[in-house]
Amino acid sequence: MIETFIGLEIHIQLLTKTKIFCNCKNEFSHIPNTNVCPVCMGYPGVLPRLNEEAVRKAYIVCRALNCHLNEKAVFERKNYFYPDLPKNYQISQFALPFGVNGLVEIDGVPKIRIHEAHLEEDAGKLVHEGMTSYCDFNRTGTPLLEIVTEPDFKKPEDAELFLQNFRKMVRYLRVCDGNMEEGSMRCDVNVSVNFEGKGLGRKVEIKNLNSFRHVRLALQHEIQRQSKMLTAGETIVQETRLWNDEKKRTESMRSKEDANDYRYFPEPDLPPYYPAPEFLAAIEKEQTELPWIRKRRFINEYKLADDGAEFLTEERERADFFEAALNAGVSVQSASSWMRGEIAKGLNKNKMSLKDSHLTVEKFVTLIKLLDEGKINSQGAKKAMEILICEDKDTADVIRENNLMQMADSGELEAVVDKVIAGNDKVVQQIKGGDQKPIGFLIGQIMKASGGKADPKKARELLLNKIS
Amino acid sequence: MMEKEELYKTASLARLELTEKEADDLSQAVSQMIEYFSMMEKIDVTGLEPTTHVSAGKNRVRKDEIVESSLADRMIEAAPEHDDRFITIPHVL
Ligand SMILES: [Zn+2]
Repeated sequence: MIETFIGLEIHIQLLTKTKIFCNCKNEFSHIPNTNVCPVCMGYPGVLPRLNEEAVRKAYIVCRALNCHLNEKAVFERKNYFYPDLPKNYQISQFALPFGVNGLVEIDGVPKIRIHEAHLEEDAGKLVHEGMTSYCDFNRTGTPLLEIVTEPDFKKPEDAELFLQNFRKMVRYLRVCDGNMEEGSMRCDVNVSVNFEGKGLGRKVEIKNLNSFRHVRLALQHEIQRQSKMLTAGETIVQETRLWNDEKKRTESMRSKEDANDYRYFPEPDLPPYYPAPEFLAAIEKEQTELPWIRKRRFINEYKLADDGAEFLTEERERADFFEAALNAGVSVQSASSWMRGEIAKGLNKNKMSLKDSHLTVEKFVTLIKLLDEGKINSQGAKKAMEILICEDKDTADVIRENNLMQMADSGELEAVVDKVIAGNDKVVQQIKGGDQKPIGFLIGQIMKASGGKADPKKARELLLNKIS
Repeated sequence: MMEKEELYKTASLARLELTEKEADDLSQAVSQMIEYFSMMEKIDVTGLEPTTHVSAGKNRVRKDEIVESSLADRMIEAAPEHDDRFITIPHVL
């Protein structure tokens, strides 16, 4: 039997207004070298100044990952020559990072130990074309938190599931937008195989993974490649490989022998960081129920099915919305079916998230109350919801302006029913003859004639009374 | 004496190219430096925390407030070569 060991290295760009060591805007720009200054361009003689918000967000993640927080953290220079960081070193953490020895327990995934989480600066972007490389330093100095797991994953699917949950977590914590396509969350993996009981094999790193799917595919391919070699008695080379998504395989990346000699030493321009008790207390307050824990609670407390709980806890705003609606008296059944149905549909149609739509819990609760009281019917409620999502209006105003009130006056409804009966004599005779099927058709006609304002239940009662 | 090979390796890490003669001269000087270090290494420092920072205290942070640099355009101009707003260099892998 062959055993597999998978570890992840996850980089997340922290959501701060400015870069980590200078006051330049931390924002993507299509125009090269706009958000730059002598500090992030690596000019000699400049002084890095640490962004307190980057530190705060880094600690929030360390705490959520149950890391031990070092009493003293030290920034160090990681020396390497590559033009994506023109000062020839990256300010990172090495011997004493912010957090070490964490643990993450997600349902469906084995317990994953976190080796460390350290704060560093992102590098610039290079575009290679012909004989020239084009350098853009807008990204240089973006606060980057690197999270390194122990090789505790046994299956590619576990790594994928972990990453999906991790992404949700950083979004719940509001420290990173988790966009893998745009690179604000990036992941490298390492994998080794060995005969069972023999411990770790020779570790291969895989880079160039731009989605969770790529992570899984690359791991599956690599495990197969290594297992074949191991069984055939061949030597697996410890190296870095790149995922080639077109050819669906990993490929060896030429690397220099000395590439890993980074000669770390403490950054003399940045004093050590000692997290103060008051600071840590504030970090504690920023903690929130993590997505996988919230999902489990939703299943237990609200008796939701797995997929329903999964959907409702996908985003923190969605889960908050759901629970706020329940607190205001909406039933679990009603809140969850509206959120998965009409609300999701409306948001999708407008390409909006709950956060940037105009819908509020208050507006939703009012709508459901009106529906429960029979003041509007479900057709009217659906129509109102469409408007509430994309227009900044009160529920009451939307209903009034669009004339969605249900016919409260039974005389008005009776007149409509009479009219429909009179106009559909053949069908009425059919029903009188015992055929129940066309009842639905007549109700449809009544709804249409009333402009959607009839109460279908009342209309049905009235209709049956009159023709039976 | 420092091994020549080691000197070449150190030089290449610093991206320095050494001629045979430079290497000969330097290995003498560098060996001397290394000797000084080995003298220091013999000092018993048990229980002492290494001093990595002599001033500046601790926890020096700044507020997360944007101050746009007025120097971006001038830094692009100051680069040896640029193409529009890109700074250009010979092709690297
Ligand atoms: Zn800057």
